[in-house]
Amino acid sequence: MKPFAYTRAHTVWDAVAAVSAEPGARYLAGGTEMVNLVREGQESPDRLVDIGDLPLTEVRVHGRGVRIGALAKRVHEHPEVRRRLPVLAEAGLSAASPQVRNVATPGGNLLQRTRCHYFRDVRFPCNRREPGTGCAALRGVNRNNAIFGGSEHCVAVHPSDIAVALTALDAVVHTHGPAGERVIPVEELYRLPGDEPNRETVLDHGELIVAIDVPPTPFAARSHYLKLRDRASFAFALVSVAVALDVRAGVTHDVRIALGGVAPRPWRARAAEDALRGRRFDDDARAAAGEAATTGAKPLPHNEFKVELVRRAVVRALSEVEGR
Amino acid sequence: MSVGQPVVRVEGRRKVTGQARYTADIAEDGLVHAVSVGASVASGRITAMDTSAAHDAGGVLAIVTHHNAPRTHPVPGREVSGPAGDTIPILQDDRVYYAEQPVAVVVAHTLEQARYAASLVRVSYALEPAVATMYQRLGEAFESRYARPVVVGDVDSGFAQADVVVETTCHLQMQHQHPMELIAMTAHWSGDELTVRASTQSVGVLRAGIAIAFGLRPEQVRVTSEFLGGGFGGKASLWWPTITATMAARVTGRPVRLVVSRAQMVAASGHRARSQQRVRLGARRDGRLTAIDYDTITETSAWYDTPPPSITSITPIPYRSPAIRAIPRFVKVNTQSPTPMRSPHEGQGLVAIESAMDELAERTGLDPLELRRRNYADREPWTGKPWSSNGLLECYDLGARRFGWSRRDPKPRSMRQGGLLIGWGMSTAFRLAESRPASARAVLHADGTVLVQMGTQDIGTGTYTIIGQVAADAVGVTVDRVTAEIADTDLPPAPPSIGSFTAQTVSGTVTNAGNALRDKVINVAVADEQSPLYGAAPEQVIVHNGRMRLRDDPARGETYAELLRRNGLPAVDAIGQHNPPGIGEGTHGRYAFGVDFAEVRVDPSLGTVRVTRYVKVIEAGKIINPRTTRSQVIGGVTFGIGQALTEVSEMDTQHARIANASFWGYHVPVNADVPAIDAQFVEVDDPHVPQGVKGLGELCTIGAAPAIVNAVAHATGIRVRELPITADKLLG
Ligand SMILES: Cc1cc2nc3c(=O)[nH]c(=O)nc-3n(C[C@H](O)[C@H](O)[C@H](O)COP(=O)(O)OP(=O)(O)OC[C@H]3O[C@@H](n4cnc5c(N)ncnc54)[C@H](O)[C@@H]3O)c2cc1C
Repeated sequence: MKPFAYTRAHTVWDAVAAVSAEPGARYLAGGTEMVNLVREGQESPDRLVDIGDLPLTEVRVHGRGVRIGALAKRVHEHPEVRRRLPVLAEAGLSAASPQVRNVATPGGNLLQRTRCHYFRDVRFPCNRREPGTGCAALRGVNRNNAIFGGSEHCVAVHPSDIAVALTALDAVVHTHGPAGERVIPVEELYRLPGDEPNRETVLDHGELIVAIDVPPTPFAARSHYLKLRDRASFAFALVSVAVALDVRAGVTHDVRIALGGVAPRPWRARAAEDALRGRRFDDDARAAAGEAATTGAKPLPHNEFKVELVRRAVVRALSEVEGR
Repeated sequence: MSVGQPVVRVEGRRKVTGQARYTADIAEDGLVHAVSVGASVASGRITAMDTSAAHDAGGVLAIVTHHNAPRTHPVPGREVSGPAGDTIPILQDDRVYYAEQPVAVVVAHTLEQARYAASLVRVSYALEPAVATMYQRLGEAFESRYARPVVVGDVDSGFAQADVVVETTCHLQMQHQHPMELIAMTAHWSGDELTVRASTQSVGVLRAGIAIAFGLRPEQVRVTSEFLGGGFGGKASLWWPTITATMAARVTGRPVRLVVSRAQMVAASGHRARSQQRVRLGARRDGRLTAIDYDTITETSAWYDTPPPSITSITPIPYRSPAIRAIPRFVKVNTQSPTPMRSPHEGQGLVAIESAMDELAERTGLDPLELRRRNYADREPWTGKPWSSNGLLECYDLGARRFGWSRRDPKPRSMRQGGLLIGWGMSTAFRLAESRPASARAVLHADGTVLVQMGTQDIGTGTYTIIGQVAADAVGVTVDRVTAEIADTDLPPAPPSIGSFTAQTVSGTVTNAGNALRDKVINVAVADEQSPLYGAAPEQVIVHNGRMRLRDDPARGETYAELLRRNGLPAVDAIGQHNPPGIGEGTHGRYAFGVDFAEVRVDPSLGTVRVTRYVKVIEAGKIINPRTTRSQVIGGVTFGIGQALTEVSEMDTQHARIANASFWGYHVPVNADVPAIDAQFVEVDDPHVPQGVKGLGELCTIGAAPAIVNAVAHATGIRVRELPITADKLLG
């Protein structure tokens, strides 16, 4: 671990100024991710600016929906989140372990790095970590990698659970950056790897997430997160599905379906949504949605099964949410 | 009697309150830190090293490479009485045999400084082709002179007599022990004397190995280890962390601590080797076996001088058959050498054997348990020796009753609840019940307390506790009067804590030491004119609760403490020796037995498997402590769940490097994967093993993986032959 400076910011403005001023500066929130990355060498910052003291810890319900501070802890336990946004509560609870969740923040969660083995083990080549070194996952152990949105340079998967739920809720992030404030839909926060996998998000250097806004929608209350993984708990998703549904008189009025564990960002399954919208919400429609969710899948040698798993998981998630 | 009581683990409170200090927790004056730099390639030669940037980094004291490392002697694994460890020279030349093999060790004042400097060491290699898995070289499989084939009867005529033949090939994954506690060493030289604190399953093996490597007399080396945060076989031999820490301490003249990172754990000691196992069973229509043909191919490293411990013998066969043939073969790959992992033989072999038995049950239309009963071996199948004792049939009965096995519908996919498929599977379990030579000292103090000293280890199983129990009975005091001092080469020597040897070894040795002490003190009493026991025949004296008295006259007696005080004796001590027959020697086959019954629920659409009910019955002779035994069963079954469902070290074949060398990427079961486990014991008297104690550490996990594999096959109709059973293998 390279020696680095550590400072604490007391206002949002201080924090943004401190990180913007130094190319090698990074934010530190709960540190559950950053500390590991620094120790293992995927990150080697010159300065960590601790934002833990900033007043961004609130979860607030207001006319325009639910606002979640970037540093709010254990959001999934918040009664209003559980009531209004079940998919988010379920996704939050499914992530990591109680110990990690006690410390982790939503801002840090959205900006965690991929769990691709080849990114995480610095002994392997990885274009995302070291541009130009190649992608070892393409011909390596790629069971956990992407079936959507990858490129010949990178097939990493974004590991966040809540990002998938937030995508299904049409959520946005509010940022403060050197160039001012912005609002970015969660789905658009992440860039697909293309030929620049090292550029992971649309954020500028020093741009700070201050809050996540979940707008009031007719589908949020009837929503659900299904996470499939290699053990019963404390594992990243192989495939996950966030569904949010507005069914009126047996007909799907509106719906959101987002997939996790399959793409470099939360993956909106728009074709699956289209297969449901305006149709009776029945077994046939759900099966059609499952099929449509796999549109465009490009599996790798070890993860062909994810295509089938996506199909079935979408059907299952839609069936489970129906009863709610 | 203290033996047989559910005595609470003596160090339990200290462990759960964080007061127990493990190797890496113990500070020393002047302690400095070492970090190993591992090879980034799996095969080749080092062509150049640039350590200048690392030298210039803050706080660096030394960088040890093959250019400047102290010279060491080769350590033939077989000479240190444990499984072979790193038998290649460490930091002695430019050769690289496996990824993450140490090529340099950086020593600095702080751990952070050492880590940073280690990241600055630049090494160039001339790459040579590496063999990543045996599947690249199956055609080159060879027989090892250390693992002879076993042939009983004539297999061909056995198959000729068979009405039914089943054949199955299982592929077992590479696994790592991944104990919670990382491998840690602290080495400290003073002059030519070396002290090593180690997280080890064998202080004795480490001492012997270090002495050979560094050209010392064993007396110049002291190795200690107070607590172990799990070992499972991965800490039983001399591996490079001990060598490199010792070198770093020699070069810097400082006490050096080296803690292996989680990523390095896949190369810092051996692992459970990948294997391919082909089983052919021939049977009569009534299920009785006529032939067992068992071929295995196991990965080994290119330089290993003993066979990899997996499947090296016929031992995974618990059934009677007129003809048995077992041929172990090996393929060399560029990995660290394999080593035992809770349990090396039956723990792997029974997966294949018991899968084949279930296939035979299906083919013959017999209930799986009934098939096993019909093939019960009333003698050791490959020697014909009688068992020293065998409670397997009682285990079958008790387990089947508790599980409700008779309600099993034999048809696969027939049992359901809601959308879930329910599967019931079972397996026989058995394991060598042996011990090794050892000695112990028992000391009686004038206050009536007893100290037992023995160079064994407590690897987390409760050895401290059972030593107290055994000693209490042998000396004639209550268990709260006894303390144990272990895991130090200054103490009387004992074998490695491997192979389920420890409980039996401890029972035999500590009983002898305790009895010798008791007799010695009684002899003092009967010779002491002031003692109420003066003049009595020693064999007429018995001891209870620390008080000696005449067998026939309870009023005539005195306490140990009274005798010692009156005679001005601060302490009396005695040594006890244990000299069991060699493993597999003697007139009887000595084994512990058991049975596993597992229920799984499988979501057929998503491929998710959960173990929902579990009964395990073990027969391990006399149970010293039902409480610690129950813990062993829970831990053992959990271990088997990992083997069956979640654990695999994934080899990247391009780089011959393990891709998931992390705790988040290597899935050991978590609580949510483990159901409540019904742990039951059948106790039998066994006059052929010390104190009737058989040992059970491995028995508790043997049988779990095959029972789960069989349960999944019953639930789904899909027999998965490649472990672990992850969702993708059940999507159909
Ligand atoms: C063992 C383990 C298992 C896990 N399992 C899961 C899982 O199953 N599902 C899942 O979703 N996650 C999982 N995680 C990830 C975990 O949720 C994240 O580590 C955590 O949410 C990160 O939050 P943090 O506050 O600790 O972030 P930090 O580590 O402090 O920061 C993470 C990154 O975000 C940046 N950052 C933090 N806050 C801001 C902000 N407000 N604005 C701009 N940049 C910011 C930091 O600079 C850094 O780059 C797991 C983590 C661990 C360690």
